[in-house]
Amino acid sequence: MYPPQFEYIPANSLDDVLKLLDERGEEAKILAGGQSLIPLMKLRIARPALVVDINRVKGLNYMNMEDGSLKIGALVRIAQLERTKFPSQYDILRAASRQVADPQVRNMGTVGGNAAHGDPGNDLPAVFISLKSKYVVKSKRGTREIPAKDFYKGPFTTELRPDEVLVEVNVPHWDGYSGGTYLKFERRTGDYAIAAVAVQLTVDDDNRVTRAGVAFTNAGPTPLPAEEIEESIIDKRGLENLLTSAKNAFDKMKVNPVSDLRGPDWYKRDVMRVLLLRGIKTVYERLVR
Amino acid sequence: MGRHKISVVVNGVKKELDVESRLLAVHMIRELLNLTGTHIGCDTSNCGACTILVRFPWSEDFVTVKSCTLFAVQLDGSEIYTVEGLERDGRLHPVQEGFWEKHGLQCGYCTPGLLMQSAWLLHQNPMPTEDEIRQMIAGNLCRCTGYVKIVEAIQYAAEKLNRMGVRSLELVVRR
Repeated sequence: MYPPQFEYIPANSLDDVLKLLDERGEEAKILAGGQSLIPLMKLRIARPALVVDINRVKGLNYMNMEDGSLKIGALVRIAQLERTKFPSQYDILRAASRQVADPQVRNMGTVGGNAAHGDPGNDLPAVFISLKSKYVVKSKRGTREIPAKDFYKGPFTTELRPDEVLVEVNVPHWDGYSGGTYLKFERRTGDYAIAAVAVQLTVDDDNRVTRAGVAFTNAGPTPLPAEEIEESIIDKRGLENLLTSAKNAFDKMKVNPVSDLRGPDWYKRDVMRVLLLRGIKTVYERLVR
Repeated sequence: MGRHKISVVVNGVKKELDVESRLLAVHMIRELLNLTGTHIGCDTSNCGACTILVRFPWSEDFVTVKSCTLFAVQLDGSEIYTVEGLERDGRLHPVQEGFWEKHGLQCGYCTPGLLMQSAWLLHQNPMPTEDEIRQMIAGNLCRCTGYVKIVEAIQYAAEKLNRMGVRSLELVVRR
């Protein structure tokens, strides 16, 4: 399959990228790992007139712990994330990245691309939402930070404006009594999720949950933040308590996964509930003393 | 619109090519370079038959990629290896030998991709467990073997490489 013709410009610096987007953002797409964009172009669903290749841009591939927060450059490959030994409070990053697609796709696919693409089936958005992360986006007009939970507007539709590029994911400080997991249920290895959940918790000396992040993948038109569930388990202690609260909150939540070849909506809701409770159990049991 | 002159080292030999922006790497390999060992299976990034080894200019390491999901023009300044580059001076690479000895193929369509992925995975992890092997070939579909023989072939290659005391890609990359 051949994509339609397009103009290809390999950018050498972030300034070049911002200048091109400023002039021609409406007709341009950023090419990072290309593992979503190129298939869409081959199917002629995406038909950008201009493709700006950012792979040669220096200074976008880094992972730094700074001022307590973890900064991940947009060009970090998902395979790098998978191989990195993070402090245990960030182990959700490793757990999730190894479940993205397959090894070859992870070798090319980038953190920034997975976050910015806006496919509700992408795995990292739910993870970044559960970690309370912010996306740093740049344009010639300046820099802004957008909370991951507010970034997604609809399928393939995000807060990103045509002249902007996502340059960094900023994961805030989580203390040493924190941890998380990403549970993904798929029909076939390497497929998108039937449903998946990201759970991130902090537990105090009394085994009380003091901070929680919960979000779902493929649960509707966007990655789904679940603040109701987070609130329902904060200040609670004891596994049974947490599970009952989370289950009640989930059942009250508006959850509208689409019926498709991966299953009908009621089935997906069931999968989400099971994964949610399993995720909370896994993380809480690891953190309690 | 959009033609580019690119320079790529292919199986140790430098090639200068003139490519359209939309040309996929797999078509460059098969149709411009006539290296038809690299197969096109699904053409949708699923099956892995088109897997090749690439060292991009921005990276020190070789990685495997699906060449149907990469534009040829992205390879400018890169070094690539295809299945034709695995053997050297008529001697098979241990992964090729393993697929032969352990019957790691039936129809053979997926084999070029699996050989490239196997050569790379053994470079990353010279003594993988069966589970690790299965994780690392999750992006390569085989509809004949049921994978049991493929896993055995990769285990054979791992043992041979360890006996030889070399890392997998040292036998592939031309210096």
